[in-house]
Amino acid sequence: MFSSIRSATLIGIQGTPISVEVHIGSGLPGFTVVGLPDEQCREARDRVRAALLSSGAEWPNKKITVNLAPSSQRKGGVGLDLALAMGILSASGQMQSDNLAEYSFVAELGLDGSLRPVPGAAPLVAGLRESRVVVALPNAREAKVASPRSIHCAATLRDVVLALRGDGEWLDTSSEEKIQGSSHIADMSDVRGQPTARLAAEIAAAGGHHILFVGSPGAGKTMIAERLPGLLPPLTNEEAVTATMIHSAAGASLPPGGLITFPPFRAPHHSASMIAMVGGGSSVLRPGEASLAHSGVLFLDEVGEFMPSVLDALRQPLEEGEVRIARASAGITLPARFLLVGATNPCPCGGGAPGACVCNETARSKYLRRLSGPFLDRFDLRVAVAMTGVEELLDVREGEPSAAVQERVARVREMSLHRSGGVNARLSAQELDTHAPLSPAARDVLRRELELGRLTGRGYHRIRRVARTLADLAGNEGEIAHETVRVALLMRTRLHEREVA
Amino acid sequence: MSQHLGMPAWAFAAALAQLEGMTPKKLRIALLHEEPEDAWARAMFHSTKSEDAVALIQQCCEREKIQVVYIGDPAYPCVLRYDPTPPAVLFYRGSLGALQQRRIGIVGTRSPTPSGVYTAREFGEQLAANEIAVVSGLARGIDGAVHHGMKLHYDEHPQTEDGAFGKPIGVVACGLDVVYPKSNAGLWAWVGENGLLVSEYAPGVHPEPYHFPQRNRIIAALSEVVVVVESRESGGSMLTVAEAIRRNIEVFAVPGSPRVASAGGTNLLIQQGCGPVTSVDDLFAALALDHRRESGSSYETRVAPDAHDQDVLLACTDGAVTLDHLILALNRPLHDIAVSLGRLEALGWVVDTNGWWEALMR
Repeated sequence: MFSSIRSATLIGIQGTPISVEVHIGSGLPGFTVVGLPDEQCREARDRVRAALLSSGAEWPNKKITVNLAPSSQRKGGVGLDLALAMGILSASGQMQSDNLAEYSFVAELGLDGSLRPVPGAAPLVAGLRESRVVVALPNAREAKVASPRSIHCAATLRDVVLALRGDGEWLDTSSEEKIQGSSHIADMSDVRGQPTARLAAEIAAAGGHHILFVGSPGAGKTMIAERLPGLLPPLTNEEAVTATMIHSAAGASLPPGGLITFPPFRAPHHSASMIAMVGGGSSVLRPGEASLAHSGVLFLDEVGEFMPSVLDALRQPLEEGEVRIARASAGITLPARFLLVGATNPCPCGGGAPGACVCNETARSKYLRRLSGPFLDRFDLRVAVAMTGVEELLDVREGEPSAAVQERVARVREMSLHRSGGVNARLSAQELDTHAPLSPAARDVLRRELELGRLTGRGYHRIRRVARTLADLAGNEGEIAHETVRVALLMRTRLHEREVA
Repeated sequence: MSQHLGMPAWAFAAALAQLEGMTPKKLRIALLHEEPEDAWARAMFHSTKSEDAVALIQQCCEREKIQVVYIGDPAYPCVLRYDPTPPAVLFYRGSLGALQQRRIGIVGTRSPTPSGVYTAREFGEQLAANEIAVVSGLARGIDGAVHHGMKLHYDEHPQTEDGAFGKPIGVVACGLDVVYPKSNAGLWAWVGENGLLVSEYAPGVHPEPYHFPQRNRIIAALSEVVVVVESRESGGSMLTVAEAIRRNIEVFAVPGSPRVASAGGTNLLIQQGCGPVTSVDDLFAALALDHRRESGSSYETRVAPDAHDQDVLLACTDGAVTLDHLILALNRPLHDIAVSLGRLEALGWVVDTNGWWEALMR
């Protein structure tokens, strides 16, 4: 008359084990679910009843009480359906199975008794370690990312019962494993001309420097930004699993192989809300774009059009590499270490060369003022992108392919990992003194910029980090030469309002 | 009607200028034919407004250190009295004596190129040194830059005797206590202290778009010659030019590259017969001054770039270019170009505006 079945629910990107306890006793026929279920969870009882009847099982006409333990924690989602059905079958004596305790169940039920996939299968399965997990077939690949050996699939509730009894077979999922993910990232060889923006993209990839492209519409800002993930090295195993977990938890699409092996590229529209950007939500805490771009690229096109509060909310993840979301019900920490790529026009009309702009002064200064100073300061690289010349555009020769750039990037990343345990963009001020010492000439160059007030204290460190990456790309390990600092300065265009007088 | 409790005539003129529904033309007619007190009384005939308004504006002007001169006043500037459309009342700070100097009007676009700003500033600096007053509008861009140039000269050379420097004359389109644009507030105050800041609008009047063409006619009227440094084919500067031509005042223009939009108007002016101006010497010639006696104003003070940097400089001469252009045009390693640009910039040969580089040639 009592059974307890294991399943899991999602908090942020972590699966937490849940016991679905079912008690069937005498009393007025009825069905109650307790243990802080949300709306989707509570609706499960109607789905489960229909699914059981469609599968040929009997619905016990008794008092059914379901508890979702631990009962102090809020549960959401539809992944508990199958566990609930198994609990009722077991508690009503319609299914006897000794090994039921070895299994966990994560799937939604259709009214016809079919098993349906749920979002977040990968983290849910990861939360159910050391147990065999039954999932719907479409969830199999991502579930295997979390736990390759112990995944079982079935098409319907009936098949699950048969397989558990030993009267049927689990579905074969081995064929799914063969599919390898492939990169759909466009290649740098498509880009004609644009040597500065290319170099900037390479520096950004090699040193993990955030980058802002400033240029007229159609100059190629978006084109280069889209190709940036192709310059980053492929994800390590650990990164790939984390990225997959995040995507799975957010219900975002996964590559055919299930595992995300290439750096993700996220380009939210500028109408994005704060929750969509950093994550959160009222009942289920979902990862936002910042986390989905973890170990990849977050591209903000028309960055000035984003709500200022949304941009400023990105400052914490930019500094710390994670988002801490606190809500009354729960607090979670989501990984969010991404390469930020911004693109903006220099002014509302699109501008171009100085003197070509037709905006009035007020509109222009208002446009640039939308980006807060502290936010602009986070970009190590700020590059003016001009329209490609006709000659370059019509040139049939291809640009350097991404693979060649990626090789250099990988070399620099290895160097910096070996030197300081991270990318150059994350060197602290002390580390800069030991790992990126300036030559006397380079120091003089920076002194003049500081004295002229063209460089802030923060900017000074950022220039040094970029210079370190530049030197690494050139294969110079030691002191930073003044030429390198000059190039780093060129790669950080001032965006102040045009000098008036 | 002269028993007005000792209130000065200028206060009546100012109060008239401030009256609702008073147009420049009506004001001119009123003050050309009557004393301000009588004109005020006539205007007040059907009105409930009392003489408090006169007292108020008198206090206001005294508090804000704004002086008032009206068209019947002996102090009213001669140059304006015989103008076709003279401003009947002028509010000013500083000294009307500035109008005794030779005067050049320098105007231009509010969104200039860096080289336009540089040219305007250089003109301002050298005209200040040569005791020539500069009339301008204190707007953003060229207008501000030319007076800024004068200020640079004042700052660098301590003034020894009065009148040794050219005076700045700023004609603005709002009340003198309403600073517009705010970014030129410092310059605004400086012009008021060192030259003449003048407006036909009463204190407290905000700049309306239709004020600016009106203001431009005063700029033209106060100038002996008008120089346009940079302007599009339409815009405020071209209106100033039209006003100048109406008054038979000669107009000069600084030529620019045909590829630069903000030189479109000046090039058009030259095509239509305006004299080109490329250096301060041309301005002296325009005023029929013999500039050859002046020393040390026309040779290059910047250290010449070496041959290596010269290529980079030349690549920046035909309008502003981005780094992309330099890399593709010069076919030299980036760090090499970066060092050259750094040197050229330090010596004052190139400027960088939001990532665009432009040469500042003579």
